[in-house]
Amino acid sequence: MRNETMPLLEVENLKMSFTSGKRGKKVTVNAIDDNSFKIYEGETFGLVGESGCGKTTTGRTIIRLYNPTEGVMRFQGKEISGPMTKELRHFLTDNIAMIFQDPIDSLNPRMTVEEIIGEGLKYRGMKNPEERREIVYDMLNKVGLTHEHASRYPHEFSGGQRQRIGIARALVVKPKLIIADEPVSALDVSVQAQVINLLNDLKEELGLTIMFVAHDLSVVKYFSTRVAVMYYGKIVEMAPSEELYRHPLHPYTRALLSAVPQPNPLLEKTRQRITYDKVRDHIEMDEPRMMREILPEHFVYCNSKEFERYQSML
Amino acid sequence: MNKDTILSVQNLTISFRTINGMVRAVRNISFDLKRGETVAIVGESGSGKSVSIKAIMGILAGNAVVDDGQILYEGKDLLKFSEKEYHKIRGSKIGLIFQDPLSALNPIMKIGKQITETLKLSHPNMTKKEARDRAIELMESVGIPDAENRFEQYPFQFSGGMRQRIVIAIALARDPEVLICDEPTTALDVTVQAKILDLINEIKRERNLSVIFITHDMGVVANIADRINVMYAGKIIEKGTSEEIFYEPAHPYTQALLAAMPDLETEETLVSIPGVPPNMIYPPKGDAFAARNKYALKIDFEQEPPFFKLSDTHYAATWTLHPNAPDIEMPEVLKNRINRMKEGRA
Repeated sequence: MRNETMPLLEVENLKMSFTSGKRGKKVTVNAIDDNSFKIYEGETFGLVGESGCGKTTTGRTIIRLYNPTEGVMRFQGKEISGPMTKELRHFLTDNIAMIFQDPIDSLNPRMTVEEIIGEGLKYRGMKNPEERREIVYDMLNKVGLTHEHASRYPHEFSGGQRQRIGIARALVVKPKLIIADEPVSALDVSVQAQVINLLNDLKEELGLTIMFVAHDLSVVKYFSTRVAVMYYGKIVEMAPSEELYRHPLHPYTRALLSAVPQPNPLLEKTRQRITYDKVRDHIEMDEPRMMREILPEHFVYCNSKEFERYQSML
Repeated sequence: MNKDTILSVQNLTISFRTINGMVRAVRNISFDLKRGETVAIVGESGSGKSVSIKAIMGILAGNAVVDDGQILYEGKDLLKFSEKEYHKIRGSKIGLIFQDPLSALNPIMKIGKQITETLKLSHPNMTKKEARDRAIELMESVGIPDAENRFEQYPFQFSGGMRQRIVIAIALARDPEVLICDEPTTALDVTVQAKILDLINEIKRERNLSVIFITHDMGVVANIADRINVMYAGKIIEKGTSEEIFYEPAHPYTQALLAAMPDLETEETLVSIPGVPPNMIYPPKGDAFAARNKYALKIDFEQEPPFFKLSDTHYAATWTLHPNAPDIEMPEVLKNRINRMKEGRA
């Protein structure tokens, strides 16, 4: 099912830095530090890391809410990292849509659900409200809401329902790629499962490709086909999710996995945590680190000595 | 009351006056806290878990009404205390750690001052030097490196995990017997969360603290709790030791809650709980979970289930445990996980 020759999204040496302060005190933060990855059609690509590691920035840069500092991004072979033109903006909004973390802040409180979901269609030239309404109704059904919800306002809904509205809004323009930025972390556990199951169903029904950005490793592992682990702006390990879980190699991935709480009291009470120490856990040498393929499709960011060490760990 | 029991909540019922009517936030809950143990209260948002501990601390909102119940601490009912009497207990006997460490700290006061200020409440005669030394000692004991220098810093100069450590240090400054933790790790990253949980476990052992731990995260509970109370719609619906709750969950809600979260080995479809929790202005008549429970029986909608005893420590309030009730199947995700855990144990 995977199209090997042509990835849907290609990201090469992407860098994104933010500067703050003025003149002599200028501070630059490399939020994304030279990352490359590909997302193939039909897969769910999970991006996981702690707060401040740059995972959200990556998603936002792809949809060009930020202008990348360096690097090339291609969508279906077409470059999307160049200067923003009207044509590029249309290309982006037609093909990529975003689901946000906070279902309260991301919906305009003064618009009805119908207006929120239909807005994207309006800007794409569908001027006839009747026509729009039909599509909105259809979309509402798909995400498990009903027609009656269309005339209501966001505050009348629960957190899970609001997230469904956010999903409907993203899907209404029939995008090829969905960037879901922590779509379930603001929700209660029981509702989380509703939204994850909904996304899974829709993915199959509509043949979506999803980039799933989250901090919860259990959810990412469950939901994604491939996972990339990010640490301080850098992707340190990338592998199919099962493989990453069986053979975590980078010390940070191992630390992250060991910290995930498990619903198993006897295991939890005896569990040894692994901590990550940048100095202790790495072998320093002059050679720069890079992504190396240690097993098919399993990449680790390391230098050659570390590569040998990781190989011996397999 | 048992001699080991330090705090006992009995038949606590709390409502809130709102313009739409009385919200029945906590409905007749009882639980005990024994010396040196950790009791967890688990539930989703709105289940009444935070309200119950606010009642213990005597910091309920102004529109709250305690309809019924007792909170016994050392044999005395806290609910009958005057504000003056409460002052002697709050902080010094029962400490509280909040969810958000940033809003719990004063942003324009140095960390050191915030700790020494608390110390002086318990020891009014302490000199400045003594207070400073004691505060630095406390900061070191909660794992803040370079405490001497950080004493002079402001909250914004600390990371989330370090802030939570300071909040813990402030809570420990008055040497409480009971520590109440209200979602102390929810705002933190997993690796930091793990460290804070380890810290709470460690100080609990060292000081022989009794801990009430509030959370919605079942994984966190597995790490920290000796006994667990599961709350839904203002009621405790299942209570047991953590082994019993995780390996033999009996209430359909507990089962659904466990089956709704993936762990690292889950491959099956997750069980989502349909619908939303009930409106607590009009609490449902029977089992509050009945409307969302596919195994609900007719009686679930008519009569509140009593606690059925499963073992000396394990009780669940569900009609499915009645001898005449049909057997129910556990969700597959959960059955497989429990089997996996049992194999791992053997």
